[in-house]
Amino acid sequence: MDQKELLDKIRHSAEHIEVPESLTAEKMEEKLRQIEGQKKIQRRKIMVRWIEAAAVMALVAAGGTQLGMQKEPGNVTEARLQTTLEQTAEADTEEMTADELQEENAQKKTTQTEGEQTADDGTVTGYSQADSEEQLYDALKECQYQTSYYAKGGLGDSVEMLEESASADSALMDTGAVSSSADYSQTNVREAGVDEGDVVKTDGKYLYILKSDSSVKIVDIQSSEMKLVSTVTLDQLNESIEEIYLEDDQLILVTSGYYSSMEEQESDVYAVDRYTYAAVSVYDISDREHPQQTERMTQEGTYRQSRKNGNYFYLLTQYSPSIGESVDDSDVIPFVNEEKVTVNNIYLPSDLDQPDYLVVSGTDLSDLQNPVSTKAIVSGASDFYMSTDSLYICCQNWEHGKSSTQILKFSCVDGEITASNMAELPGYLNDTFSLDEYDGYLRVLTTEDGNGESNNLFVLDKDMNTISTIRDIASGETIRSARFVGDMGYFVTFRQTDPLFCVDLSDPENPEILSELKISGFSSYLHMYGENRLLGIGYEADEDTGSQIGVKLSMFDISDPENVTEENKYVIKDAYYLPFDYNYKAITIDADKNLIGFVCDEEYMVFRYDEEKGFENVLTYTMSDNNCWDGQEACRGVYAGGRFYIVDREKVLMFDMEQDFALADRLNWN
Amino acid sequence: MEKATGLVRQARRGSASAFASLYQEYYLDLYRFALYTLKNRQDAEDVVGDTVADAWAQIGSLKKVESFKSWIFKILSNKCRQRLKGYLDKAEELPEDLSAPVRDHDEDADVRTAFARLDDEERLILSMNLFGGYTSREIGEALGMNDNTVRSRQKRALEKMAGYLGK
Repeated sequence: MDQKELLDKIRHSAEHIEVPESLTAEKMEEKLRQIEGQKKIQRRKIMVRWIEAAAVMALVAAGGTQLGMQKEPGNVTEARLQTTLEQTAEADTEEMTADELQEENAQKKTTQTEGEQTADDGTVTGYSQADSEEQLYDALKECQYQTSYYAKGGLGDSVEMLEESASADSALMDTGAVSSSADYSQTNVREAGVDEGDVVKTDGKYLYILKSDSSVKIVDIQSSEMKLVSTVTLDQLNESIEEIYLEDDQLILVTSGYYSSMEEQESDVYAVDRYTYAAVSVYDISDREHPQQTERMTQEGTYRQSRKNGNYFYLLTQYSPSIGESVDDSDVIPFVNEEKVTVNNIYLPSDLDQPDYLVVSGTDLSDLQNPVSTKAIVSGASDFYMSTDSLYICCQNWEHGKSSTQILKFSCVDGEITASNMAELPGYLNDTFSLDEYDGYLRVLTTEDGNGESNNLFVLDKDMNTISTIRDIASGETIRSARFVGDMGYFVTFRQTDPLFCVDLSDPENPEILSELKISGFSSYLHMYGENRLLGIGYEADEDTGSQIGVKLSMFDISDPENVTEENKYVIKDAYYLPFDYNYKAITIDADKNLIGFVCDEEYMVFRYDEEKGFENVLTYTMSDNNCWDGQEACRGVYAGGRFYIVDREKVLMFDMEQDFALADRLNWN
Repeated sequence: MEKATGLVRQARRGSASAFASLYQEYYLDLYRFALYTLKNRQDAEDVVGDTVADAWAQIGSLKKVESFKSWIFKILSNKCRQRLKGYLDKAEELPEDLSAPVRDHDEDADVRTAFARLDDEERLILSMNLFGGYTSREIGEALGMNDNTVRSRQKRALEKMAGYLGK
């Protein structure tokens, strides 16, 4: 039975289900009239994930054939709104690309041994460099027939124009040096030394806030009264800002754009050119009041991820080729800065089952127009991890009743991206924290399904050969969080209780599980807190039934890896939603300053930790004034000087940390 | 679309009957979504009732060009997800409610039983696709995963079902 048939059967099976009387429209109307009179404050959880900048799928149709539906990302002004509505009226299919990208990009300035920098650019197991546009076209056309089932209509008649910027989720891997040495907070990045874009940045003197998709607010925080200094508005009207980076006197904006043009060729025949792209724009803000755009680059595809390492910038986009009747009628090569990527920098898998490409470019920020290198991989990648010198692209597959993960390694040094090798492992990855590179070795945790569940740890060498494994860990449970810190690895599995495992990886050929701590609930995020402690934030569950009680913070004493204990815990009852679970950048943790800040449901909460007293909730601020808070995932807690700032889409709140987090100032904008 | 926009405007101004008309168009799918996701009639009824109450309270937040369907499904999906978290790893329930008394084609009952054996996330993904009309990308955004992951999980879920149905 094929999938479509089965889906139809499921739909059919629902057709004769009786709907309870209370849910009919008539009864509902009565109920609503009753409610109308009452004043009721409802807790609601608007699905914030929905409000992410809608990705635009761009298909350049040389012959005027339109193959997809375009949507404009982010917030839209009236003018843009009109155009997009007109366009979507013509649209047929959807196939949007997700904005989720896990990418770790780090560049090491230290030299690599020659062996690691693969001079041989072509030999990656299972993939080969494309040798011509025709070859690409043929392979994609073949695959198109197999995947056309997935192209289905989207939701509703109209286009959603809600704002939010989203970034990928993945945990933060740091190798021990957790807190920022500066007196102000920094973005909670995955890999120390590799910066990531976010919606709020600070240099201790100013806050840089991505207020909407088209402007960045610069707020002076050097005095007890905040002051809006300037607004950086994007020069390009058809773009919206996804995230920002800050480097001294430079503000770097990563944006999504949508280009469309129509040219009448003969009467009533139009050549339509449409595509989505991501752009990086550098603004000189040495005069904070007068920002100037200085550098710029564009790359075709939907924005996925970016990273900055020193002066090198890596941009990842997901490009959807458009496949027409012939190669001339199609577009199968993405461009970077308006130049097509050379065909032999495009990698095709031998086993092609989906047509999208991942395009990654490495550039020097002072010369964005001339990328150091660009690669494209035809791949349905779902997770990314970038260490200081490599990019790992992970593809999850499912076949013959079980999952497997294909990990493709590229070396990334000083902007130069070179194909390295590929490994295929059984099972799937929980999230980006499930893999980590240290000392040239890649440690990976997967969960195998198929006949029941179990978990595995693999250690791979720099050529992606598996050199050791521990299999069948915690059968019947699945991995919920992981964190590798140098030679040690910590991970949590869960079914009804949560064992926290501690693995010694100091000998990569002989990893050893040193301890297993069983506690209730599970952590979905792990973070080193000083040298001897591990902070776990997640959910508390009833030990017998497994049902959720609320959110939990746990502090683990890991000073003796063979005897890990839960030193203290704190449960927030009836709390369910942790936005940072979907985006690790949304949490602020600094062990030195002893601050843990994050949004829980609709409140921003800050905690401090003391060995004796445990977790202390020093601030809880209800963020929504009027039942209408869009800002959960864009909300950030930032500290600078002796103050703590909470920033969301509409406001900045300033709290005095020395006065028990008293609210000291507030800045609003509409 | 014309008609819907008018109704949305009226609903936003407080017209319960306009809201009810909008609701009418989707209430079957809303209930099916909830039932198939939660596997329990009472829970499904509660969650749809809560969704309507919340949607009514928040009708002001329904943006002008947003579709009523997607907006109300958003609220419903979120509530279902919260509930599922509350059932964290409950042992597979006998899907009594799903295969419960309905004078029906045998195959439908089998299909529902097979569906009920899927795990929470799989049911959610399939419900979002079938009853909510979401694309893989939209599902991915809602659940915090990549659209490729959504497709492969969906594929896996359907293969499991095919297996349960002996096909």
